[in-house]
Amino acid sequence: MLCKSIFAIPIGLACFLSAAPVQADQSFADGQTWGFEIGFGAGWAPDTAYTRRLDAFGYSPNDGGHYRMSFAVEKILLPYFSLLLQTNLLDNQVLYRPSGLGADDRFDWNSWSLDVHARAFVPTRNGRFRGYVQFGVGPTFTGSHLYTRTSADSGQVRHREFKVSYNVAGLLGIEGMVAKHFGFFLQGGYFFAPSLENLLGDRHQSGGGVLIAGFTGRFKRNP
Amino acid sequence: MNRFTLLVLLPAFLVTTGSYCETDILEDPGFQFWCGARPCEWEVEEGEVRQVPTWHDYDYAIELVGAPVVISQRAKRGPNCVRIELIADVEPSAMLFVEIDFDDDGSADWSSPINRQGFQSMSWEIPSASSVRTWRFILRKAAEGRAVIAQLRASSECHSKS
Repeated sequence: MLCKSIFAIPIGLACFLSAAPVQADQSFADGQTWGFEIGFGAGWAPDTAYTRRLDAFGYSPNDGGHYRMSFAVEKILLPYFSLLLQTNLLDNQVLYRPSGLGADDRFDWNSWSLDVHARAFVPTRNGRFRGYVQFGVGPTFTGSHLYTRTSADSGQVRHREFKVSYNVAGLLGIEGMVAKHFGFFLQGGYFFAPSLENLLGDRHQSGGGVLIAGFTGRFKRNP
Repeated sequence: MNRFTLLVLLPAFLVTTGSYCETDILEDPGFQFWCGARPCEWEVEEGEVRQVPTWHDYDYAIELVGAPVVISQRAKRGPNCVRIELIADVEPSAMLFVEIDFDDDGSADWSSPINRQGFQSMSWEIPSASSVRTWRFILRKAAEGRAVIAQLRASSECHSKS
């Protein structure tokens, strides 16, 4: 039931944004009410009972799984307040285990969020910069793959699983416009995203701390 | 000596001096290969076994059902020292032992009880006399109780002779 209701959030947001009254804050970005953000950065998923169990079963993590991505569409609805539809790459890990024969066993997963974020912001007097705090909630989608061999004669077999769960997020950020429609942002925060669960009852938390930097585009000024 | 010569000679030197890692001496240490109801690479000498999932539906382990149960595998080669790493979920009442039969003469020469619950790992390092030519690794369950083995890995020490 939780998953079904979570799906409704982004759909409802889309309807809400299309019908929202135009009351945007004129003081930031020259009153442009729509924006998009594309960011890249790093994140640190916590060590969990799930990953400790994988370690106990002989899996070792591959370095390099700390990169993160973020994409968002923002609609400024009120002075100092906006809503965003935001997706984040929360977690991507690859682990290997010696199989004793041929290629190593491999287990990997990726977790993406699709959240609605409420953002409160304070622009500077000239409207070129702002600081903000935002909170979000939505579904988390996690795809995992286990590559293992089932006989000495065959190659590896891939087993795929897909899981939907939820996440909540809190972020702080700053944004600066360097041109009429173009700017940069830096944001950091924390996601709580329980995701994978193994047969032994261990749960993974795919969130953790993130630090994202990127660029923004702004358009559609109020009439 | 130019760089090309170094590129050719260095790998040859490493191989000839033993500076390489060929460590595993048992097939299918994770009990992933099943031929019907039996593990393909392990001999079920006595009793009943079955394939069971562990942390993942497709990551298997072997359960020793009832008692007595004995499974074993003869090592591919016999190094002078072996490191055993075992991951198991075993009730103490199951009286499970890991054993080694040097030279495969039918009698265990080394034995250790296994009573770790919750898929915890155990490890041992076992030297042997240089006259030992073959190693047989045995899991022996003597009594009723849960005994699931997720891994019995045996590897030779990796070191450089130089």
